Amino acid sequence: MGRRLTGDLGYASRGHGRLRDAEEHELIRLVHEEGDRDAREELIGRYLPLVRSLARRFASRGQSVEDLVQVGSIGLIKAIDRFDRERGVELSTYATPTILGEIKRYFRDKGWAVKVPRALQDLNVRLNKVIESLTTDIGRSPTIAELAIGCSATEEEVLEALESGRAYASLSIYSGSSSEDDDSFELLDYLGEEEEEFEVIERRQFLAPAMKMLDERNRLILHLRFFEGMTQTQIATRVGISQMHVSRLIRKSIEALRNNMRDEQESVAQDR
Amino acid sequence: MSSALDKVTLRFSRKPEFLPLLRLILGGIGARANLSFDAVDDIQLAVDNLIAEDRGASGDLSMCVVLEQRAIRILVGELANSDLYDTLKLGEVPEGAVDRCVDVCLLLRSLVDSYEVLESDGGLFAVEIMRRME
Repeated sequence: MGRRLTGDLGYASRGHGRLRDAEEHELIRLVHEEGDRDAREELIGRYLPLVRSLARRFASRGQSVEDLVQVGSIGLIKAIDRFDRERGVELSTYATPTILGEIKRYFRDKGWAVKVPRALQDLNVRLNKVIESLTTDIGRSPTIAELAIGCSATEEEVLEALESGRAYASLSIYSGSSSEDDDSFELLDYLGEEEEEFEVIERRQFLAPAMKMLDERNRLILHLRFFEGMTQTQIATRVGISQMHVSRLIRKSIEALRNNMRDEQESVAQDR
Repeated sequence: MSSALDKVTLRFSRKPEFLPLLRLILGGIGARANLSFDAVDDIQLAVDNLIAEDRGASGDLSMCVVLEQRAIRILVGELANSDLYDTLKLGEVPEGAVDRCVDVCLLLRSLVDSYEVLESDGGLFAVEIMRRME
């Protein structure tokens, strides 16, 4: 049926303007009302350049663009299947956040160093937001009990989710949410843009000689925590990232220092 | 350790895979003491680093957590690394160990309110850290 329709509606010519809109509406109707697979494939083909364009935004994040196109295509298919013509928006408008959401979810999932149940990952993401909002509301770092109430979870679940957050790989720079419609990319957006604005302070090797191998932001965070005596909450506000992320970065930085010194020691031992 | 309210004592393997379990227990105790998220994270990080700096040691570790009215005390026992011992005693990393030790004293001074090294038999030692409750 799809092939016949393609001929009837001139899909091969990829028309523009109203003709294209009419074609698209007909394709969407066929997908939704008749389950027409060919029409669905036609739509996917038409919007693949959009997926490719969105995937290319993340080309520097260590994943191949082709992989990201595959991931983004899943978002596109979801958008096509869920698209409501009555909403009065273009499919491209509707599909963009869904495609981005799928790519972001992929980065988030890739970021978990060990297998963490989805429910815990989601609770971890919720916690991130609850910590920030509660800290603002009550003017101090919230207790575990307050976090549990804020997340509608038990204290044990909160602790487990916080612990599971430490399994989040340091390579992952994405600390975002699972919401498909949430377009904030937190650290991904933040890195490289505001980082350069940090004043470069305290280059002393105050924690270990390997301090110099850390990037400026991580050195700054360690400096603020262990030299200036700032709390995680204060650092989070100062640096503009979440409290949980400050915690992760502190741990990862110290671990990196320790690993670096161990490697150096092993290297020296081998040379002897 | 005056006015002790509750005490939790355990022995655990020093293998890295057991550290998350240790943190969970510390977190659970901190939650019962109504510590803030920041404070819980700090005591977990303090204990993590003591254990991480106890390089090359073998055998189990012990931990005793005491909840007082206004403080939480954690005794990490059966530590054995001489660099760690010297660092804690000196208050900074000794000259000869700067290339292999993170300055755990600097970490502890930020993370807890006080720490003390306690010597035990067989060349082992323990470190007691204390964090006041706000």
